Amino acid sequence: MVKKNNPLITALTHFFLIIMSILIILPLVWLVTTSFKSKLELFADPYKLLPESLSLDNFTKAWQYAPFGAYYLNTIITTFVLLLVQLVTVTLAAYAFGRLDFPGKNLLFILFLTQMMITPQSTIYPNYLLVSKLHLLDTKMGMMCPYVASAMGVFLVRQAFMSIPTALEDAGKLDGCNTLQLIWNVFIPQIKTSLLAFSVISVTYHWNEFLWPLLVTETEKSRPLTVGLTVFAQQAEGGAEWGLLMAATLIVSLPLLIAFTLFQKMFVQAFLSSGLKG
Amino acid sequence: MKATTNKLRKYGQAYLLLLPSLVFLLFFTHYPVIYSVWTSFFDRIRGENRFVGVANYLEMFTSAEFQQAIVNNIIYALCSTIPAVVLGLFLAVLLNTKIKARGFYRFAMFYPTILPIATASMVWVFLLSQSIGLVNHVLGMLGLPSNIDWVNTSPYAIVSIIVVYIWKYAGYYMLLFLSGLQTIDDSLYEEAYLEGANAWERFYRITLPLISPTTFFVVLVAIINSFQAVDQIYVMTKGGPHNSTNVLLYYIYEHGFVYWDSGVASSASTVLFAVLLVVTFFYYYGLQKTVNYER
Repeated sequence: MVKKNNPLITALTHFFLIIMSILIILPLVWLVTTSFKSKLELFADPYKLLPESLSLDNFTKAWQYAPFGAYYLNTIITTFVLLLVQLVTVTLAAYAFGRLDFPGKNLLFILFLTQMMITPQSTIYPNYLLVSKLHLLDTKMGMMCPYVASAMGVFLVRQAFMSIPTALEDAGKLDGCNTLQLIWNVFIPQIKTSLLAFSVISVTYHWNEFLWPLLVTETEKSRPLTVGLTVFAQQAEGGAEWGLLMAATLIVSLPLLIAFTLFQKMFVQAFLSSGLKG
Repeated sequence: MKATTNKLRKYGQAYLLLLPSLVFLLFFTHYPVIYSVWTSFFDRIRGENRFVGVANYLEMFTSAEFQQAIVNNIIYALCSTIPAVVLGLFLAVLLNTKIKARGFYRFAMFYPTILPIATASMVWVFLLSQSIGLVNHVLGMLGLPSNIDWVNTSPYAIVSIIVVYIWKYAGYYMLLFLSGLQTIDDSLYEEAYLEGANAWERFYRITLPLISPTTFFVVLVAIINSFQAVDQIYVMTKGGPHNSTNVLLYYIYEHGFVYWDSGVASSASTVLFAVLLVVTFFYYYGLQKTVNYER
């Protein structure tokens, strides 16, 4: 864009970008370094950037004080079981909308569309009553139910289905595939990228989700990491044990941070493809 | 005869494929909306559900708490959306050059998107702590007021949740803008450059008009987000002090799950549906337009 490399402009650009980067990345740096600091150290000089030692005390203590193991398991199970279920429901519906013709297609499509408006957050109250009526409070099932159908996923994957040439489908039909075989053998390899993008979004969203699980979970039987952390914070608050709290926060956030660092391009792509379609 | 059975079988198959999604959609998206709207016209009077017409709405709209929640939500929407979108656009323009270390900058600015906002808020509570928070410390070093109790006093509490919103979303909006910018033909800039247009003119005359569809979407996404981002309110301020950070969704949460007032919670949910409906209507209206435009 900048044709001539004006060194002054380049320097100014870098200057501004560095300032912004520092501001945005500071909470992460503070989170990591504080989690290694002891209570005494924080007391003596709370603003020192680097900890005196890389002591894992805070992490082991946090892990002992709260059932983070159980929380981890709950988050992993809900996130990935939900993802598997979603991949099935999304692929089937996207196939129907993308490759088949049937009466009422437009009407049904609009029914799906409405889910993009009625966001899960706005239905927390009635959905809570519903989940409670179904006796699904404090279960992983109750946490997953509102997300089994994903309009966003259907739109994303339908787009991929529509871009596949009919010739491929015909070849599959000649080989005597039924619909499910056709989807599995012919289409899945073609829509892999879209499914992957959807998976990244879904996992990120549900790993991080807070309000809905806060409402429907009650014990460590179903409580996910994000909710477990705030429960832990309310208990540890009295002593303002920031080192401990930051260690616990890092325990919760680390898996996605590592995944993001390793697969930055994939995350960026996924968020882009979902962002502009809703 | 055979043709019709074949057709029916084909149709049946399509419906069967849609069935799993549809069942959950009807149960957990459509039914809750209808239920909320319906319940909002009833109230529990002496242990009995009675039809009360718009009484719940009247009660709600005339209550100071609800009015304040609406005003807060509007302030929150404006003061978080505008800076986050402007910053996102500015960062995108800077990063859309052949500048060095782009990967690092992109990482630094985008990582908040993948962090849980509930846990990130915990870090912010620490950063904004009155006695040992880094923010006060830095303000002190700059010679500014530095004994601020950020999350517990007004108006600093709402400033705090707005800061967290901007921190969380500016990088995401930057990314959306970046993809919009990459569709602009470089030769346009070259021509403008040869004609002697300076950087600001090139931005104002070329970039801004050509990415206006992207801007439109980002703004709407940002507004929707501002009606939904309440995790940090729960963690940082609990709607306080004195309701100064209470917004619509938090109001629903409080009336539904703290006071167990079903009539008001349902009416407030209905108001939120209406707001989201209007915003998404614009979203799809705009989508239709740009799709046509691209053709």
